[in-house]
Amino acid sequence: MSGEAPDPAPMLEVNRVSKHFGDLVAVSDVSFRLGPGVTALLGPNGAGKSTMLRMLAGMAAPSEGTVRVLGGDPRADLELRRRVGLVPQQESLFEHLRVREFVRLAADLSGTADAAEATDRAIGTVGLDPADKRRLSTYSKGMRQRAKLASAIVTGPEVLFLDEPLTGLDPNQRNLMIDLFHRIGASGRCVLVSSHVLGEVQRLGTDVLVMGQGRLLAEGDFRAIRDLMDDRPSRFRIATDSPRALAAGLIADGLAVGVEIHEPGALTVATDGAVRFAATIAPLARERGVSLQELRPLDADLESVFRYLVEGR
Amino acid sequence: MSSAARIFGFMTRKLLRDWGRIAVLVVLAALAILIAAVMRASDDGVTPEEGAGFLVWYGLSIVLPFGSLLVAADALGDLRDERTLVYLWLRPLRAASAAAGAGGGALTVVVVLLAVPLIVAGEILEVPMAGGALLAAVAYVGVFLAFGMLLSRPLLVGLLLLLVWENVIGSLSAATARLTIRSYAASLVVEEGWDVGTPVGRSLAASIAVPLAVGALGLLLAAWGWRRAEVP
Repeated sequence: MSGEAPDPAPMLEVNRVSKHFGDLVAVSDVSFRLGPGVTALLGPNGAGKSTMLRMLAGMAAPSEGTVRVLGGDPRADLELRRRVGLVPQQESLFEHLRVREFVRLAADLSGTADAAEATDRAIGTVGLDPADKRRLSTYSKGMRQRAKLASAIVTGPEVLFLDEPLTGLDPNQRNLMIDLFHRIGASGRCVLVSSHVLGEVQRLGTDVLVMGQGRLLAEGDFRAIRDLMDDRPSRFRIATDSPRALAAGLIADGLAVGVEIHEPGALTVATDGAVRFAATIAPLARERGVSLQELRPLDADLESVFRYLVEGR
Repeated sequence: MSSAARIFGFMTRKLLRDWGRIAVLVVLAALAILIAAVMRASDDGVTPEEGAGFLVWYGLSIVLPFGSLLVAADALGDLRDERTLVYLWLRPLRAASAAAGAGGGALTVVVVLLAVPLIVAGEILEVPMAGGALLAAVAYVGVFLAFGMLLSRPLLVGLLLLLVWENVIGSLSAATARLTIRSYAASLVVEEGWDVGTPVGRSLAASIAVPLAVGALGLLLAAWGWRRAEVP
């Protein structure tokens, strides 16, 4: 008997999925599996993110491939819809309803227990007032986003899809919503958040799916993705009292493929082996009698990863 | 409360919130009553045949079909165009429940705002309009509900259907009239031998069964469209 725990079943499983609209290929041969936690679906406008989310929510059928959510077919399995929530990208709402009526409709149609209480709780969670008598037609963009989110979470879904959910929110509301996504993800649910805004995504966590031109370009922790980009040297800025001595040592040991000394007391190093570099730089400095004052990666952030993957630079 | 009942309540309320459309329907219906009253009050009086002629032309050829188109095509079609269908479609609703609820809502609005005033106009003119008006409403609402769910321009296609099929083709001969909803509804209003300008003469059984079947077929098609919808 093996001592290893079996792989838990993925909450989302996308297998070689493509979606065509006539000649237009919106999603091409995408596969991934996701478990609990928050994952960001990142890509520029037109990358296929919304189409991917629509297929995951069952709103559109894949042209090829299969989508499984909690083990079921989201398009055919009606019961699955009780366990899945979606915040769609569009702003439109049932304009003639009040927020409590809008969220309650979702709860009632899903057969949510204690629908009235669940409705007020969901509305309160997103920072709106359940007793607000105004119709949704009078709501600002940020309030509409929060009303949609309340409608999506009122059933307590195990899987939550959010399509650009932070659009229109002010910074304070964004913080509240990001905290909420993390709380939901930390409770064992699967949260997939699409965005084209890198600053947002970086705050959502480190797990990303990167899409571009309908294809899945990368998945996983974006820092690990960066490390795997062997064809792209990683760059570090090092502040030191002896930049020339350190540069000579790095080149002699084969740790650097390029070195620039462009200011007194600092150098920029390009290396093919970021992991080895990080592990070796301190012993090397000690060996050469050089003092290290700062070591800072210049392109290990999400923006660099995104630029490499999507824009090819 | 069942899902269909919830959709019914939601849809009825939604349709009644469109003040512009409601105003058009109310004016159309009020005109029927007004004209009936004027005909009745005229010095020459009005025969039931003349009254039936007016109600078949104005009520069953204009008010009910065009009013039903305005209401039923928008019931689900508006949700799709406004991209709000997602908020209902994502719920665990059976397609039949969704179609029945939406169709019931549209039918209620059509009956209350259009069929009932036509029945009142019929009472004024001593023409039994109830059966024809209600069955025509069922048939037209079913057809246009399906149009709203299945077609990208349901109002335009519905207008073409009414103008070309129901009015032109339906008036060509007694044989082609069999293919129109209007002739079945009118057959319940018109007595044998009356000339009301449109071919009638369907049997009682056919006059009841055909509009009901058309309405049911429309509901089935709307449910089929709901199940297969690629939701925007």
